[in-house]
Amino acid sequence: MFELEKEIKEWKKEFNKYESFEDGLVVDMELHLRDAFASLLQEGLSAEDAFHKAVGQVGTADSIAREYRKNRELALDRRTPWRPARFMPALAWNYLKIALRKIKRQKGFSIINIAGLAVGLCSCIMILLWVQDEMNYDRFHVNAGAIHRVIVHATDPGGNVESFPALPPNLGPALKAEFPEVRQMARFVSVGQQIVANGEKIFYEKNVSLCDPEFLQIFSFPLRRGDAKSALFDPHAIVLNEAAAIKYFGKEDPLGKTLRLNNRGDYTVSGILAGIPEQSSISFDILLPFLAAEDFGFPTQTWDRFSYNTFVLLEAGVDARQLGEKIALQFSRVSGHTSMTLSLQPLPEIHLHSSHILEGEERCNIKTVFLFSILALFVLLMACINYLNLTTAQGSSRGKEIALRKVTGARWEEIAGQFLGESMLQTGLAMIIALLSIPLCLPLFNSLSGKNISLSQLISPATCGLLLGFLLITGLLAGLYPALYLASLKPAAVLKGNFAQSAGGSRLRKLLVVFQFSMTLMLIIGSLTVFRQMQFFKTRPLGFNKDHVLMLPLRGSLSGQVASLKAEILRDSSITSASAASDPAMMFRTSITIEKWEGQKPGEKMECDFVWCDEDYSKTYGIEMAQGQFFAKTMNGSLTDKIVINETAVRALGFDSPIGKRLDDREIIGVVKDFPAHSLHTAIGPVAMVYDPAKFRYLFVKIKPGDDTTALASLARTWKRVAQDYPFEFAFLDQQIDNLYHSDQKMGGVINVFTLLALLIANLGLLGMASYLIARRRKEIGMRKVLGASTPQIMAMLSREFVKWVALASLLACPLAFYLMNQWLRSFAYRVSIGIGEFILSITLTLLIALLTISSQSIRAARANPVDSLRCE
Amino acid sequence: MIPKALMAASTKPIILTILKSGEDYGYNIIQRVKELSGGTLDWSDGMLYPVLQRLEKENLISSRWIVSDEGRHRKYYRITQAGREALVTEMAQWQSMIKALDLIWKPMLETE
Repeated sequence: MFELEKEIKEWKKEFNKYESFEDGLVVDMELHLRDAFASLLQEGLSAEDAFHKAVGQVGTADSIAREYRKNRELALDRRTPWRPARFMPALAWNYLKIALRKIKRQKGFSIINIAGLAVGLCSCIMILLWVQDEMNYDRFHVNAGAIHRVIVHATDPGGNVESFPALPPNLGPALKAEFPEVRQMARFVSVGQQIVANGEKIFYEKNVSLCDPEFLQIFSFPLRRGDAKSALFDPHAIVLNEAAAIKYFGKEDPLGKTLRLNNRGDYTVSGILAGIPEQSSISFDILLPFLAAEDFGFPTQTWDRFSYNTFVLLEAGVDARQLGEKIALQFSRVSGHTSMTLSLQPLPEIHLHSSHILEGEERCNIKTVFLFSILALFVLLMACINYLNLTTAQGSSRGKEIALRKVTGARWEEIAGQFLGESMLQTGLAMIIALLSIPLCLPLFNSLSGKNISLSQLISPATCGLLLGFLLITGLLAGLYPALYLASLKPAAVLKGNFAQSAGGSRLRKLLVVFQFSMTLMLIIGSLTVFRQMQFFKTRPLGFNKDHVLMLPLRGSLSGQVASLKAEILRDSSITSASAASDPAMMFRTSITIEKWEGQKPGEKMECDFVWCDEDYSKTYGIEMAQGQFFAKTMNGSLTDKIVINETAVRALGFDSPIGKRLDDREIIGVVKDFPAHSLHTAIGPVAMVYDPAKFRYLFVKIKPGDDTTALASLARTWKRVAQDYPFEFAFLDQQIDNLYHSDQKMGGVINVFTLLALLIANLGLLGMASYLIARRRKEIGMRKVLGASTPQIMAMLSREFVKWVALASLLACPLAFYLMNQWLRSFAYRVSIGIGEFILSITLTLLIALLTISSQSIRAARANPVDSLRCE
Repeated sequence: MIPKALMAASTKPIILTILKSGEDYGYNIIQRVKELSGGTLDWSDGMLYPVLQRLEKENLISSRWIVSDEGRHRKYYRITQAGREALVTEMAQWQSMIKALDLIWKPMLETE
């Protein structure tokens, strides 16, 4: 049965779907339909046919709606009035006003948020500058991409591989002659401190280096005067930097003038360098030609002395890895060093990727770069978490505002946008504070990191872009969740007044606080472990006594006067012994290969750390003998034919009774107990000691404890008498040894700073959370007090929750910290074991600081007069 | 079949012309358009109403509700003074357009 009303109702539904059909307009349509229906009925159609025809006559809702919409479109943006404008200037102004007002009204929260973000951003910017600085090493060379350093990898009998950049002098020319891929080659070696004189002007030059003439062509060290191609061609040429040129020649033109080195040879100035850029992994003050090497005790023709850094400039398009393999094959064939292999290291990698290479230079490690970047980001993350927590916790205070905005037509996106804008505003303020504080922090940072980073680095377009990126990402990280959370508040619930924080939101907040505490705990455990390892380095028994030992460098002709120098020095009763040697313990620079010994397996060789010393070395250093005896003047035969090795060497060689056995062409006369030839980062390896006065570079003087000043004064007097041509220089051995751990200590310092920052930010956040949570429980506290609770009871109740958080954080942080610290400690051959002590100390510390932070709020709440919180009006 | 654009352009003078002869309501207006044009102008009925709304917004017509004797509500439209003036302009415009077309096509029609 056809029911007209029902059909019309159905038909109208189609029209109601369109926003452009207001109710009255649909009525128009309906009336028209009814008229058409009536007249069609009169024409004699059945009700059903008449209805369908009338519907057809009226037309489709869609096409009519489109016409109506045209009538309503606004002139400006073709928007219909029921769609909100995309941008409302008045509203934007209101957002800004509200945001600023909130910052002003809730000073405490704002300070926590903005200060935290500023600290986080500031540390990120610092680290960014530092990372940029580290990454830019050696990039100033025009050929940086094509220059490689030859690295040798030596395998000892134990299967350990040691890599170092020092090669025999024969390698360089062989490479250039036999490999067309090598366009140019330069050998380079530092000969350390030398005496340089122009007449009366005599100075020590700290870093004199020898290099091939091509060195200045391969590298782009800026040459002010002279010709890069020919400057070092003459065997008696010398290239100075500008500062040195002024020092020696004043305003005179230095080119062509002569300088005298070590009171022996004369060198003619052939070039002036404009100073070496700081971001250079190769450093020197004065360059001498390779041909002068013999004058400084460096061989120029051998496959067996490993002393020269060897750099090659490759032709374009050459695969350095393949070439390295070819070179390695050729090297072992020609040199006979079968346990060694070579590889090529690209120049830009030297600074950050040389941690596995043994060399004297202090380099950075890419892992350190990562570690510091991650630490800085963690600090920023903690600040973001504070923002997130405090903003969502305040949801109730903003709830009414949000609800009202929604009721008056604000959409979800607009509310989210508003809060995201607020977080951007606060991040922006934080960024400004961070940028303003950088000039203040930079000197501190530079002293901590040993860098010389300048503010001008901040101004580059790339850095500005990165800063903007930081700003946006931080704003998003901090503000996104609060924005989404607040935008999804239900206005009805809020306005009814029974708005309660959702369980999910507060659970997330708790989780984040726990995360912050875990991070802080891990950092504290890390700091303590680094500190303990550093202490361990200082206190570990070394196998020798480093205290009260002075190091006096023997320069020029002094090494020939050792005997008389020692005799004079020992007259003083405050000096117990003196010894000359090539290197101090823990700072050996040479290694040799032992090729022949009794019971040797075929093809077996042994790499040995090596020192040339006199008969008093063991006495001066307090090195104990395990077997046999040390060198002595009273021995039969030449002392240079004898050798002393350490216990590790004995084990490596497989000797049962080493005394009297021969190593190559030397006789073993004694075995010393193990002592380190290098810093404790590496394990003690085989050590060989040989007597050879020609190689002595230092005089070591052991003075009686407690007599430092008098001993020094008398030493200086003796020195003046015996070696009047050379200034009296000295260093304390223990300080020099401490310097070996300089980079570790630097790292420890940086970690400490980050730990402090993280602790500060985490506790600021905790302060905010505590004050918020306690404010919510004011009435409860009042009731409890009225019912007889004491102040300590209330404080305990308020602190219980936070204690739970710290406990949970400890559960999370401890295993992770244990794992990470174990990883770090593995880089040391001698290390502390991770003790339970650090963990207990860290947890206690964190807990104490947290409770202290909370107590600042809880005491006030617990002591408040309940009348104030319970009174209703 | 007259294309949509042309139809849309002509609705305004047509409706004004019809309303000039007296107040009327939607359904009737459309019937009269069909009648007067001899069926050449075949709108879908519903499309009339947006046009009426537009004309009313432009103050060319006004409307009021009248309850008929059978108790049926109807919205009656009537032309305003502004509407009459607009119609004069419209007529002049259309006429000059027709004249122009005539002039252009005349030689063509003669040669055929």
